[in-house]
Formats: sequence, structure tokens, C-alpha cells
Amino acid sequence: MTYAMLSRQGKRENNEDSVRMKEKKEASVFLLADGLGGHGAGEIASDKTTSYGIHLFESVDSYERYLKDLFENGQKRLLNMQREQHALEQMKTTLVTLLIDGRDAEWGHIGDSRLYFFVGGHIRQRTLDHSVPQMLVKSGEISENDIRTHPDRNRLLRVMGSEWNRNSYELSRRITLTKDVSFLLCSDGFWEYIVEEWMENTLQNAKSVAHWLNMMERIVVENGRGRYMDNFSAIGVWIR
Amino acid sequence: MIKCMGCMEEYSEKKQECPYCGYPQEIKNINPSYQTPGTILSERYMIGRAFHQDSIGISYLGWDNLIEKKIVIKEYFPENIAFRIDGREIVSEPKWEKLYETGKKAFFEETQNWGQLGKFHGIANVYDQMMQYGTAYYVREWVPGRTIREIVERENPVIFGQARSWMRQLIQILLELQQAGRAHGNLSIDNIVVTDEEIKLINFGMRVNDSKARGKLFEENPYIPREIYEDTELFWQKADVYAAAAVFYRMVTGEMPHFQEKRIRKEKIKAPAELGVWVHPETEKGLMAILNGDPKRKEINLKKLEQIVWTANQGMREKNRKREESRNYFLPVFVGIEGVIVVILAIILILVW
Repeated sequence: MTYAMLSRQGKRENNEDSVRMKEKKEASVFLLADGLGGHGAGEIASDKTTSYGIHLFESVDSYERYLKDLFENGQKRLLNMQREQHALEQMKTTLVTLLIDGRDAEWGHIGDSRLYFFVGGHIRQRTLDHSVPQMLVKSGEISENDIRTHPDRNRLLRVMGSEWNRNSYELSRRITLTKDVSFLLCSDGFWEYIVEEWMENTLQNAKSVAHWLNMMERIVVENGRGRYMDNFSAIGVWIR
Repeated sequence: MIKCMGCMEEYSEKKQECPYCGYPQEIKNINPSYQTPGTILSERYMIGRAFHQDSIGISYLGWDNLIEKKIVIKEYFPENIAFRIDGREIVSEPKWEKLYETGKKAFFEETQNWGQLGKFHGIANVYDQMMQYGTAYYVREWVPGRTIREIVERENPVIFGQARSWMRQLIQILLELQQAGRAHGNLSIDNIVVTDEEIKLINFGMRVNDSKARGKLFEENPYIPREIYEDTELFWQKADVYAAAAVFYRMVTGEMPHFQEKRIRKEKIKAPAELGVWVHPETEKGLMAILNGDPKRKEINLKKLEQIVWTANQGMREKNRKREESRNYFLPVFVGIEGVIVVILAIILILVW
């Protein structure tokens, strides 16, 4: 397994994205969170959530419940922090995470940070955003490609740090990894400026996972030129 | 108020977990290999949270009750041949007793040598050492900052310019150590700490002259080629050079060089360009010559590595200087030609007028 990760500020005053990974002999975890809330609250929310993910990963030996505990305990911790520090009650965050446990992989997400799953250079699956435009796609009102330009693309329906009536996060089923599998975890600031076709094209031409991320970053920066670019972050993972 | 075993800050007993780091007040499910948090050494040093384990032993965050400051405590604990009983004492497997004692002696002696080195800016200073709970410990300076591993867990690969700047400091420290007649012997991304101002090295290697005993006691460091483990003298001459080169490769490419696997498969380690990563061509050439060459070569040393890493910088500076000079040289010429053209055009305009 090889990986690469980046997190850039774009044209914003601060970077509210947070990326982290941890590798043990038998397992690895990758976390990407995009904070919301302003006045530094989003930055704290994303940072606390990913650091909790690492802390939890370090303290367990079995990973069957890891993702469930991560989302549920992470949510509780964030709500507790909001109560204790009233000034930060708006702190919320998306979260997308990938767990590699031996030859198995599992992922989970909440919000509009995405995970793309590639086999042999082609997208096999992606997580569906918990956002207004994604709902409109589901109801057939707009197409997938319209999400990137939809005026309500920043309106999220589920995030960590908002009260949940039920479990709002989504977990994948456990899959067994084969060779030539790749993952891309990214924030909306990244996927908004690169279409899936270019994710595949760059993947097929990349010499390493760092090269893949670098090629995609150039496209994102080029497409975002002249715009008030959001923070953008990405994690690439290759199983070869 | 109680002291947090996770970060050594104080907080109210009413809280169930530390407000600074989130470490719980009541510690459950502690790894049975780790020393019980709160254990006191030499009636002075308190052991806290274990934060790193390698084949030599376990590193704990600690507290010096006498001068009241954070410290790090390293415990000799070769997990392959020893185990902990009752959460405190370490005992060896009966058949490995002699080997365990050999390693413990090496650990203690090596620590003593590092302690005698005194204040040294690039190394976390060793303050004290002791034998207790069936094993050996040393107490060292707590270095605030992030290890290279912690950095690449947030950004991977590291930008070439940044990696090169850290490498320069690293090589300087290793050269100074060499002048003092010492070598680190256990460099890896876990053992280099980047602080606000400088690089500091932690977790030095242990001198066990018998290579078989060393092989049983300590796992090989993946940043050092296996070939030089076979010869103790060669190891202490070359280990730091290879490990520094491998750490640099790991930082700039985001990938491990995998010395062992490549040699077994008779493959060459891929150059950064083959991985689509830009590194100054001269640096790349020199770096790959070290990593893919015979580890026993005499000409490979720290000075050579320093030259390789900084060739790029010097080359770029020279190029910029020449560009600057040529710009200065051609500027009056251009001004002259343009001036002549302007004068001729003015004369023509006057004549036509």
C-alpha cells in the first residue's frame, strides 16, 4: 500500500480541512474532514474529529466496530465541546474515512466529502453526498454533473456537530481488496474542480500515487483560477 | 487537581477526561506490555502514557517531580524475548535470559555514553539512567515538535525544498556527532523531531557487537540496508549515511525505498522521476547512486551526501546569479539600441515634417 495526501488553503483566510492517517502493522486508517462554522470553529471541528479518529485507532486492537464508534463517539464529543464552549456552538464538520484492515477495506462518510473507489483505473463506486443537489439527483430533477454548479451545492443535510435523530452517517460493506485498487478521499473544494473522467485519466497515467495527486491538483488549481477557491484536500491510496 | 498521564497538564478531578488532550482519568484496557501509568522511578520520575514502541523498547511521556518538568522515559523492553508481569516488572523468557541481559547491559552503557556527551544541540539530551523493575531506563529531554512520521501522516510527500532544508540540518548534526566520535545508529522517520527552530534526534541505536545477538534482540531498521548489519564496524561508519539518504527519499517521494525487497528481487529502487516526482536532477542522480549502489563502498560518507543534497541549491543559485549578471550586462546594450532607434525615428519624423 502507498498513499499521498495534501491539504491546501485555496484563497480562503484559513484552512478548515483536516487530513490525517495512521499506519499499524496490520491496519491503516485515513481521515478527511471539512469544517464548517466560521470564526475558526470549522477548523477546530475538523481537527478534533480527525485527531479523535487517530486516537481511537491507536487504542483498539480489533477494528470491527471502529467506524461505528468513530462516527458516534466523535459526534458525542463534538456536541459536548459545543455545550462547554458556547462560542463554538456552530462548529460542524463533514467526515470521510477509509479503514484498511489486513486485506479488507471499509469506509464511511457524512456530508459532502467524498470517497471514490477505483478498480483497474476505473471508478467502481463513490459515496453519495448528504446535500441538497444530491437529493435533487436522486429525485431526477438534475443530473450528476449539475451538482458541481448547483447554487445550493453548499447546503448540507447531514454533518457531524448537528443533532441527529438517527445515525446520519453511512458505512460501506466490508470488501476484500484485490490488486490494482485505488481510493481517492476528497473535500468539495477538490471534487468541484475535477470531473470523474479526469480522475480516471490521471490515474491511468500516473507513475505513483504522489504523481496522481499532483496531476489532479494541477487540474484543480487550473480550473479554480480566477475564482474565490475554497480549501481543498485529497488523500490517494493505492493497493498494488 | 490531578495530573493527566496523557499530557502532564493539571485539571479538575471532576472531569472524566483531560480537557487539554482527551486522555481519560481512569485508564482502562491498557496494553499489558506497557508500564502502569503513575509508576515512579528513582523516587523522582513519574511514568505516563506510552507513545512509541520499537524493537529496543517503549518510550513514555513522563514528569520530573523534582524540577517539575516534562520528560521522556525510555524503557528497555525487547518484546520478542521478554514480557511484563503484574503491570510493572519485566522478565525474560528463561531460554533468552543471557541475551536479555546482554541487551540490557548494551542499553545501559550506550545511554551512559550519550549522557556523557553533555549538552548537544541536535540530540535530545540524556539526563539520568537507572535499573529498576527488572529492566533499564533512561530519562531524556522532552522535545516539543513533530516527528517526520507525524509530518508525513498529514502531508505526503514533503515538498522538495522543505525536505532539503531539514536534510541540511540533519547532516550537520550527524557530522558534529561524527567529530565527537559518535553515530546515531537508528535513524528513521520516527527518530527525527522537527521543532520550531531546529531538528533534534531521539532514540539512538545500541551497540551490540555480536551481530547474531543483535539480530535476535533488535529488528533491523528498514532505513538501513541489511548488508551493513553484518559488520559492526561498517555499520557504525555507514548506517547514518544510508538512513539519512533513505529518509530523504521517503520524504520527497512519499514511498519507502524498500532496500531488502528490491535486492532480493534484484530490482533497482525507482528514481523520483520514475515515480513522477520532481527532484533536482543532480540531487536525484547522486541520491540514487547511494541507494542503489553497493552499501559497502568506501566513498559514501556524510560529506558526499551533503554535497548531493546541496548541489541542487548551489546549481540553482549559480544559474540565478548568471541570469542576473547577463541581465545587467545586456541592459545597457538594449537601452543603447533602443535609444539609437528612437533618435533615428525622431530625425526621420522631423525631416518628413
